[in-house]
Amino acid sequence: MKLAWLGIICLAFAAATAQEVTEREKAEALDCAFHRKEPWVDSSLRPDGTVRFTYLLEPASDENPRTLYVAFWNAAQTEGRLLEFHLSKTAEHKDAVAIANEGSIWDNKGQPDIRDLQGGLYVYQHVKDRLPKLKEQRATVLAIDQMQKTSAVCSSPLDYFGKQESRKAEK
Amino acid sequence: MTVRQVANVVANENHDVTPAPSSPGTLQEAKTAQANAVMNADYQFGANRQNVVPTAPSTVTTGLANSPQYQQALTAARTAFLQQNLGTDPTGNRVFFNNRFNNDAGPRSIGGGQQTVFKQYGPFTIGGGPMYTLIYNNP
Repeated sequence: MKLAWLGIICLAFAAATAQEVTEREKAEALDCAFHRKEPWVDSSLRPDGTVRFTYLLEPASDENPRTLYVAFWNAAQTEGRLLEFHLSKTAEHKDAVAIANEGSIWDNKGQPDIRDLQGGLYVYQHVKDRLPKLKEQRATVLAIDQMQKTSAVCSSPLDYFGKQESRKAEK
Repeated sequence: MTVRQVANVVANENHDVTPAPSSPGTLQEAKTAQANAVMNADYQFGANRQNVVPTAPSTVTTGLANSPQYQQALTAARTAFLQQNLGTDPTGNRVFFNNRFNNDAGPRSIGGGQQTVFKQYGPFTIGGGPMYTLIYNNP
């Protein structure tokens, strides 16, 4: 009986922690967005080499791994850039971070709105619904040169198209 | 993906869009282009598709599945399947699409670069306002 309870507590703890993003995962996402290639955030949103960001983690669904939304804001937290990171593991059990989508946050009559995501109305509404929570959080301010270098395996559509081109070239 | 799953994505991504002031045929073309884009992404990226070109889920609610707009999405997916097999994909193997709520046909930002528009469909109507469907050139 005690073992059963211990098991239930462990499962509950695992479920709870899966809903939280760890400092390592945050560092990996930032590393992928800023260090690997060109920064994914416009220069206007990183004045003096610092960024202001808030984040929101969504648990895995049937078709998506755990998803980390990170909003990079201007000083007034009215406009910004949103990046959607998919967090998973590689076959070798390394942390994998895919930059899956991005869009521009803008102020629509006092309400945060987003433009130019990849995807149709469903994707647009799904992300838009998360903006108020992102906007109401207190932003973390971080210097880009203080972001950790990590060993996460990063990918983005740009990387993937590079591979596609290589495959075509190999044929 | 099955044709039905592609139809589900298209139905979710176009929920409650009406064709006016464009013709119903133009909206159907836009949905067919989106269906082709989803099929192209599935073919090119397989299980990794949602990490590269995310879309709506490939399942729909019972209410949507029983709606006339779902039949339009199913027709779009079936047409796209035929076009894929005949080599007449109107997107020319492209995978990126989205909507804009104005007539802007300028490029979309991606990873510090830009992605130009291949084709714009519309205007259509959503929630009383205009909406366009855009297919983008691959980055």
